[in-house]
Amino acid sequence: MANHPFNDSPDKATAPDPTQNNMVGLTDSVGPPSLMNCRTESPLIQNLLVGLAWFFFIGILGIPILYLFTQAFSGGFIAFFQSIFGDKDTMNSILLTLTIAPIAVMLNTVFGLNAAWLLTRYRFPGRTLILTLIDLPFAVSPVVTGLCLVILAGGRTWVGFWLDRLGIPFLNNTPSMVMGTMFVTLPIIVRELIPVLEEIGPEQELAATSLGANGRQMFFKITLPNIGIGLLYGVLLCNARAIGEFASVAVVSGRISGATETMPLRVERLFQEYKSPADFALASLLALMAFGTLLAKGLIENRLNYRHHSGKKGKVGQ
Amino acid sequence: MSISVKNVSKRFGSFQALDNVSIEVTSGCLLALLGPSGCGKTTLLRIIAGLEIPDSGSVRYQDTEVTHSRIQDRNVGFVFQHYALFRHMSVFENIGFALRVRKWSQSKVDQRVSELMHLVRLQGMEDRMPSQLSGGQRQRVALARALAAEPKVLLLDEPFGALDAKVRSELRAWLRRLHEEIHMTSVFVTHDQEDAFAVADKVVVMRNGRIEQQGKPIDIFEHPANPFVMDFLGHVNVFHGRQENEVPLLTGFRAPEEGDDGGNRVYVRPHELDLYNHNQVDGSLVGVVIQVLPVGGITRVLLEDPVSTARIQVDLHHLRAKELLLESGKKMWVAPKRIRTFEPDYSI
Repeated sequence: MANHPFNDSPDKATAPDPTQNNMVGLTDSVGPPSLMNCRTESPLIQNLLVGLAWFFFIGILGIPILYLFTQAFSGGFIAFFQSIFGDKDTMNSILLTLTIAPIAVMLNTVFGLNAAWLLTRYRFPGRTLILTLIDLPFAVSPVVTGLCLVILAGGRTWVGFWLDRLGIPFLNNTPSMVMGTMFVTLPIIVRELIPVLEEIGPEQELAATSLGANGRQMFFKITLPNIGIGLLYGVLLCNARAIGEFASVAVVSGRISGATETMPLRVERLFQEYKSPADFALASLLALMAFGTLLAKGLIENRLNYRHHSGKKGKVGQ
Repeated sequence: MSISVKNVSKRFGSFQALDNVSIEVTSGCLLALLGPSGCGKTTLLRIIAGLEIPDSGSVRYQDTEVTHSRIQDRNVGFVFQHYALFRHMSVFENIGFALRVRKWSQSKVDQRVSELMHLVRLQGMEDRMPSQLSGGQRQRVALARALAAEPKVLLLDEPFGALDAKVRSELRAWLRRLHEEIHMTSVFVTHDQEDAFAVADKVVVMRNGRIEQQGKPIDIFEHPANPFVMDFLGHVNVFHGRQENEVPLLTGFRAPEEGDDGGNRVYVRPHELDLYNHNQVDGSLVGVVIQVLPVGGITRVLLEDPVSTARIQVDLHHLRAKELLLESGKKMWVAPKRIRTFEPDYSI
């Protein structure tokens, strides 16, 4: 089903399992002829490249994460849970992260859908500029983002003046932390949606319009189902990134323990205070959240693919 | 429901897509907009549909001015070039879409969709996904979907463009029959003259945003208004020649690089030429056979003038070709049965 680029995920494309491939000097196993199995490199180079890939995968990702979990559980399960649920400030940081991340993701989803739609369906002056600038948060260090917000909302600007005047708590409070997180994760959903929207093209939407659908019906019945997986992928990635955001939040939050400390900030404080293995425990919880996000993505994607292929029986609009 | 397009112009940047175009589509007529790519035919169709708004001029459906009304308010059936079927919906859901957005009840939707499935001969395929259909089936689903809400006019953008030759000719015949069944005012765009001639009641030939000729297919084919139309409707050979006392005469080949040189050019279709072994007809020319291609009932003969290297194509009945004992390298006399001349201000 070529309705989404992520369906051609690289793990499916590189057909032979790398563990079987040439690690012990065997050539490709029997299978249908495919260009994937055509190799021009010598076996030596092949083994070298595969070995390198595994070295980096295990060395850079595998071992550190494994070590993290070993440390987290070094005092046993009870100590692990106690260090997380027994500490009021740690619990507070978890709750705060679980508040900030969903808000930021939700706002970014609305923004991402609108921006991606606008950028793919319309040609207007300044479009290329916006396309370039939308990547800015990827390029700019999050610390800079945080500082920008601090300067902007500080007492010396009219923004700060009005925030103060209207009594809106911004700096050292949740709103600024949401904004910092949003800024950093802004491009993720847009970047996921633009290729998907380009790929499906405007024809189906025009067709829906020609059949009498209004804008709302077109979006919910045609656009959204078509970009579903891309949007989901973007939202989950955005969520993972939002949960882990450190630098910009560190600058704007004021890092008040038990009040404006998110999970990553808490991990760092625990680490600075030599509170091991509590720091590893919380860090492993953060990592688990990320794994959970990826797992959820995989499961939902599989399910959607399955439904797509089987051709569901049903009536319009259900 | 008749369609009337008056003095419509449309510009995209510096490109004049349509230049003061007017057409009339009478009620129940099936009209073809025919022309090479970039001639403005699709833009005209989109303006009729409401997908584009003209810079000037007007579009009327019967007595209603619709120039500025949106496509969703016009109740037109539009079949897109690549069908634009909803990929995530079954055939049933695709066809029923227009009814669903109009809030029809489930039982009425079921009834109407099964009616349409019957009309487009797709019974039993309700639950298929578009990806499980062949090109011809997709096209028919797109058509059924466009017809679902009983539109007043049916507009088709290159309806046969993406199909292979056999399916294409089947669908042409089918579309023609369908039109005779439902008699809906229809306009379709094509760059293929066979599509236009096999299906349409009326053909409009366009070039560079203007109309070159409009009329019944047979009239256009028999009496092309200018060399462009003549060339566009099929292969044509160009010679120097003249008509003398009702007798068509060829006076010379026209070299490939020869420019526009006044009015002594004549145009002859391949089937309007005959070949002889001897110089037995006035006004004939000598050419050397370079290729003989039997194409079904006719034999296509390519000849070359050794002097100017001009090439001409002659279509003979296969029995006639047999009789002449044609072979490559043989010298033959080329004589016209009929020639056409045009005003000199056109060229092809």
